Amino acid sequence: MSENSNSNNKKIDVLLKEKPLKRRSFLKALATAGAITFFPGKQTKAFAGTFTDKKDRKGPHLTWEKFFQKYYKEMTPEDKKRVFERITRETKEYYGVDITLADPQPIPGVKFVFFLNLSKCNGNRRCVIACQKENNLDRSKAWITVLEMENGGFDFEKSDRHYTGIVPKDGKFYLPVQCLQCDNPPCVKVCPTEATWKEKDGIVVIDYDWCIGCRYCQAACPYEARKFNWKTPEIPQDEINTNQNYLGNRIRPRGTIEKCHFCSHRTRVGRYPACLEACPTGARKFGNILDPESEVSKIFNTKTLFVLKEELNTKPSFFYYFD
Amino acid sequence: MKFWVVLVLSILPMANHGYAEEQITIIERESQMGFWPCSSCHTGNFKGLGDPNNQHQLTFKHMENVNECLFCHSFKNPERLHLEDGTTITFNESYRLCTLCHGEIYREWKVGIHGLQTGYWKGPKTRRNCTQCHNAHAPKFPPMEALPNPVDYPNKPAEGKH
Repeated sequence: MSENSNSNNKKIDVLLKEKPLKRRSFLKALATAGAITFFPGKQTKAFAGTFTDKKDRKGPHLTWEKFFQKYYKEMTPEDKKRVFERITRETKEYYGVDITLADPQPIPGVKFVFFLNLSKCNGNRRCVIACQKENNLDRSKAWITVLEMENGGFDFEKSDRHYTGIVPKDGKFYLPVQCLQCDNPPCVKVCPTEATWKEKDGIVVIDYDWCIGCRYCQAACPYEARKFNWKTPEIPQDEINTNQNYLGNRIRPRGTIEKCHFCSHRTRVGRYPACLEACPTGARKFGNILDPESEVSKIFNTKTLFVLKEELNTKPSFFYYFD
Repeated sequence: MKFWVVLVLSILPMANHGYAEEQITIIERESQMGFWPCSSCHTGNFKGLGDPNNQHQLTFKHMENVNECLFCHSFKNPERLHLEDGTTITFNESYRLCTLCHGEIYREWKVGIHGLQTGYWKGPKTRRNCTQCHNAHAPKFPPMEALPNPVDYPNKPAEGKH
């Protein structure tokens, strides 16, 4: 026994003696590599080479300033101002539009909920298009998916999201699904960089500059609410919404996740979301559930509500009802 | 003393988060009506026009056994509606007539549960009259063309079964 332990100790001693040598050589190599990477000829396009391998690469360059940007929650007001100026400048350069970028904060004492009356919804997709325009989505993407369901059940396998023509069709009902802003969000738990989090008014937001595009959250979300930017969004210049929120509807860079944020740039200043105002049937209702006088409180007290996939315990803030 | 008064007066407005007083506007109907003003054709009293289906090329699909325009329209003034007690009302407040039968829906509409509201969840709202969305002569919400789904899924199922 003792001989064995002695030999083991010797081995450890040898390893410990060798370590400084290895570490030093490693640091040398690191310094060399760093020098090559960080001091190229043109500093502004230092990391541009990272993405040039693809022909369809578009959008603002990844600059020094952007790469070393702070985490949103650790930003001082000066940092924020600098970051907003950078994004405004880049949007002007790439899209040719002057935007007003801000980050409206949650209103104290407000918890947003969304109610959707499935008896009223007729699946005309006005909300989908309004959302797309309001939130500067690529014109081949949508945050709201309207499922055409068969009457008498909630079998998602029998649902159709490619329906066309005159609606509503016989024997069908329509189920719009978007981000449900869960109170127990699975997407937030899996994010390795904490680029997404839940705010005090119930909205789950994303810091697009902190997102590394790993798509774990997309896999974790049971409602297919999160969408991935495979390319830089292509938006007609005259249709860009210039009222933008840093954590909300600003034009997302390529390689980041995006989703519905209850139109935080509108709702945090008191307005209704864009999908609600576009709905001709009045099926959507939005408001502050903590205010007993609000219409959502009255629906909450009088209607039989349900949520999607309740068994997963995600506690959504988005309720459906029939009446 | 003066300092405290100034301080209190300056803090008071901040308690409202800067939002305007809650107020509800109902969109006017008269300016949007196709044949307005009615008196350009219907002069004097217009009794005895008979079956609603014969007027204005309309198909009447609201209530069974209604064979008279004057069930709702005022016979004294063609630009007014009248309630069951003879009170005349304008087309802008036609919800007062609708509530005679549809009281439950009217109650929901009044608190903002039924129908589309735009504007501010915290502040001034714009509300629609019943007849803005429902044709009074055929009130069932009409079928409409669905906008195309912008998302073109690469693995879109073939026609029929998937």
